[in-house]
Amino acid sequence: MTNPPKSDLPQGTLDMLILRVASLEPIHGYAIAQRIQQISRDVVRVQQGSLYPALHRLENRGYLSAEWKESETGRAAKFYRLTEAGRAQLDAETANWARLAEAVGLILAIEGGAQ
Amino acid sequence: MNWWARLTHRRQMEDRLSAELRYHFDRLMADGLRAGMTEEAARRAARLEFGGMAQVEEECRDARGTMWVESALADLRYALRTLGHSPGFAVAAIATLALGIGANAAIFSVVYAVLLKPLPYARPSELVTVSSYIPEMRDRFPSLPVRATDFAEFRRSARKLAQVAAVAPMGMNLTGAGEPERLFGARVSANLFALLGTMPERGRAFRAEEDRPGKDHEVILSHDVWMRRFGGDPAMVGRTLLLDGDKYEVVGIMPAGFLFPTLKQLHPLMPLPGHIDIWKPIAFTDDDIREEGSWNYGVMARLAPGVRMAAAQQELDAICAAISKSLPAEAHATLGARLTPMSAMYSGEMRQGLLALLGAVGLLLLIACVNLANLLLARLGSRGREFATRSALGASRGRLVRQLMTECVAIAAAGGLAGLAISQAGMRVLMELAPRGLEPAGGVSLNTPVLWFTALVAVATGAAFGLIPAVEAARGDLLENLKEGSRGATGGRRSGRLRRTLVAVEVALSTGLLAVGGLLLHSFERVLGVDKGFAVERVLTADLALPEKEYPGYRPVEFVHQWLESVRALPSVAAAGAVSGLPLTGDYNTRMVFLETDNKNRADRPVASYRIVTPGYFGAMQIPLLAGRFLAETEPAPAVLLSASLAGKLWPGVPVESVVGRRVCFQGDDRPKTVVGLVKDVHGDGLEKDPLPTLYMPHSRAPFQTMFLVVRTYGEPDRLAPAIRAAAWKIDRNIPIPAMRTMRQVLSFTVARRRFQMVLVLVFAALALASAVVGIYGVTSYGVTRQTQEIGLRMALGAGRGKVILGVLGEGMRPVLFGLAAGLLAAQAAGGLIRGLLFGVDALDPAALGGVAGVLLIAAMLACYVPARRAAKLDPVAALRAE
Repeated sequence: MTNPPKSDLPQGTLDMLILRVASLEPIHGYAIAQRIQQISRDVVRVQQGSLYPALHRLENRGYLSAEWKESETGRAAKFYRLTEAGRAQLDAETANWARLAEAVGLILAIEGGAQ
Repeated sequence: MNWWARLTHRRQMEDRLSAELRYHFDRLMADGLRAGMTEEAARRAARLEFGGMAQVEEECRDARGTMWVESALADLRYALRTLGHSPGFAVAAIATLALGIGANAAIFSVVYAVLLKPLPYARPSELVTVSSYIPEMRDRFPSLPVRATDFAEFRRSARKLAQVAAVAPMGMNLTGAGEPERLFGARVSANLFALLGTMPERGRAFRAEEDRPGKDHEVILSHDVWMRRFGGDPAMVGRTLLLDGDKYEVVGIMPAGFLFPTLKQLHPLMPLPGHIDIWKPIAFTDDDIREEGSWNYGVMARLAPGVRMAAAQQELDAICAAISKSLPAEAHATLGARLTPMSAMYSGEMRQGLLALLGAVGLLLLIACVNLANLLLARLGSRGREFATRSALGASRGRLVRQLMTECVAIAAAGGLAGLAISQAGMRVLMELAPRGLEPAGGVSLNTPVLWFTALVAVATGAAFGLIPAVEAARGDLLENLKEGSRGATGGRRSGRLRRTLVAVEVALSTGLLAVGGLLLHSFERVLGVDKGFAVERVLTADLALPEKEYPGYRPVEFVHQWLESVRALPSVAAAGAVSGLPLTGDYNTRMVFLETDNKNRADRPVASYRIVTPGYFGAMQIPLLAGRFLAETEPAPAVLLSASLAGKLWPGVPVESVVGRRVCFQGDDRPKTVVGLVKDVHGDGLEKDPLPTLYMPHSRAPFQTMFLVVRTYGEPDRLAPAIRAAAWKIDRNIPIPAMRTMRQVLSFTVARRRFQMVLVLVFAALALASAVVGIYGVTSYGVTRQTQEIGLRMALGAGRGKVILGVLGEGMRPVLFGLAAGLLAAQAAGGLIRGLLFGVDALDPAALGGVAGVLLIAAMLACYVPARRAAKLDPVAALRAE
């Protein structure tokens, strides 16, 4: 079994990805990790050691709200849902990311630079 | 969830967190199983994937937002765990603090009860006492009780005093119900209880019309005597008592714990008894009011609402000026009166002593703090790596300081609690040891102010001793410790210097405290060494008070004569006599003494203590005769005996022999009296005041109902007490003998307060010295451990054991010498502050300060010698290898 090369997430991006995934529907931690991995075609693999502290941090800041309910396996799991504040934060971060990505792209596209 | 809910629902939070992570883990395992792994393999894979469960949990907890409370609790838990790992340190630290805080709490309880607590009267700040003075005689009498005539005038004219009441001491013999008993109490103006705002718990206060001669046959009893003598009889009010042979109706009973001045509280010249059991109306007669020389009454007053004391004082000055104008011009005397807050009456003489004690325990606590700071610094040495590791793992310096401070506050809190327990026990011991009659009014108890004080002291202490080590721990390059740590030499040179400085400070503080103790000890010795003028040992005294009604005129002379005769006949009695006032107990009865030829209005003659004696008194007291002869059983002509200083004041420069045969008069008695002899001066009022000149009158010519029998014995004086009592009862079964004391006991009571104070300060000083010795030992011992290799090297190079010992001693004693020098300087200042408590020594007393320096040096030497010897016993080879 060979894994595609994994990429490190830039600082702060994980929060944005979590908020984005949670914006679709209430979702629990395991599913968030799965979803990010699938959507990124296995490029981004989220470590549990980062995922859960991030979830708790976002919940604490009021971007996510949490509720315990039955999951698809029939067991109770903690589902996170994006709050209004979370949506605003996601929008801001997405815009910020787009600007940053564009800027980085511009810099890398300089011709005659790196050989 | 807010932080409060987080704290209160901690358990639930933890369960949920585990459940959440567990769910994820199980799903990972399920994935593995679905991919065809065995259960064992799937679990392994999931574990690998998941990482450390505990670590994730911890990070989640962190992510919740590090609330300060939560981290403070964590700090506390950590602190307790750390302290639990070194129980020896914890116990030593807590015990040191508990002693310091306990001593402070105990002394503060007393200070609070005596100096700070409001008096248990209605609106106590309005209450004052009034004393008078004669400006022309202030050198001899700084302050006098009030005359009845002036009291009447104050009461009539003072508008700024809402109420004025007079008080006079009284003793009455209770007979007709069991054993005769002398009840002590006070005659008071009818409005006194209303003035104080405390009414009888049963019955009523006196009525204004009962405050008149002839109508005054009512008494009010103290709760105490009601319980003790009358068994708390519920029908007491309305009962009739036989007092001094007269019938009195009990009209009221005061509540338990009713505070009333005793002894010399109301005025130093007023012989109020040590406990007050009974009150009756003062009922001034017209004669009382007319009597011009009766400086006999205590006066209490309540300021009119809203009036300040200064304003009332001004008004009183004006009233006194008016009285002075009405005095005959040839009197050469005027009148003054002074208001004093009533609280000062109760705290009076204890104030300075108590503040000195509070200062002493404060110093003790400070020393304990320095000692603990030192102990903590030593501990930092061994904890250097712990801090380095925590710092490397991301703890900020502030975080480290906070952690250490938390430990200190935890120690302080434990010390405070233990201290509170100690203070309770200590207070009981204190009250047990406290001389009788010196207990604070209203007792001492654990109360809110004391609790607050203790809590405050504990927290302040924790901060005080924690701050230096905490800052020290966090400063410098922490990571250095990781490298250096392996050698166990953390903090190295700097820390060693800091610790030596702390030792110097500790020694300086201890020196100050020891110096105060030494000065008080030397003062005490000086007080005891005062030439009392009489011989103390093997003298028994008995109080006698004959009722005026049954013993009018010269009948007391007869009674005392008979009693003395039968006492003298007892075996083992060497001599016996009687006197109207015992030495050391106070000069209550004083007269101005004139030359025969004087104009009796002059105010510049000496004031003398006036004592009435029977033959045998001087022999029993062994007061030496200096010239002439003693008084005889019957004196055919008016005769007096003078003390040497009185003769010296009346006839300066005249030799004692020539004084005999001259004649004197005294205030209130114009008939000239012949001086038949001179005797040595005797301390009449304690040992610390110079003896007042004394004039002795023969009992046979000045009959007195209240006398003290003085018996010199060959054997143990106490054993004679029953026989002496029986001898009195053989003459009259209804005469109570309220108290029998040896002169040794009288003397002991006189110096009781001074001794009590001195013992306490010495105990505190000893504790301080012990602390300092522990500190010196600790630092020196630590120094030896740190320099093991160096010492080994020097020994290997040929240094002798003696040299090693001297080296360690020198190192250890250096901070001690610095501290001692600083401490002796500080002691001068301290000595100045307590000058009022010193007697016969000054603040620079070389004996006391030299002794203190000696004791401290010897103790410090011993503390250094122990580690020095250990150093000298080192095996150089082993020492060189020591790591």
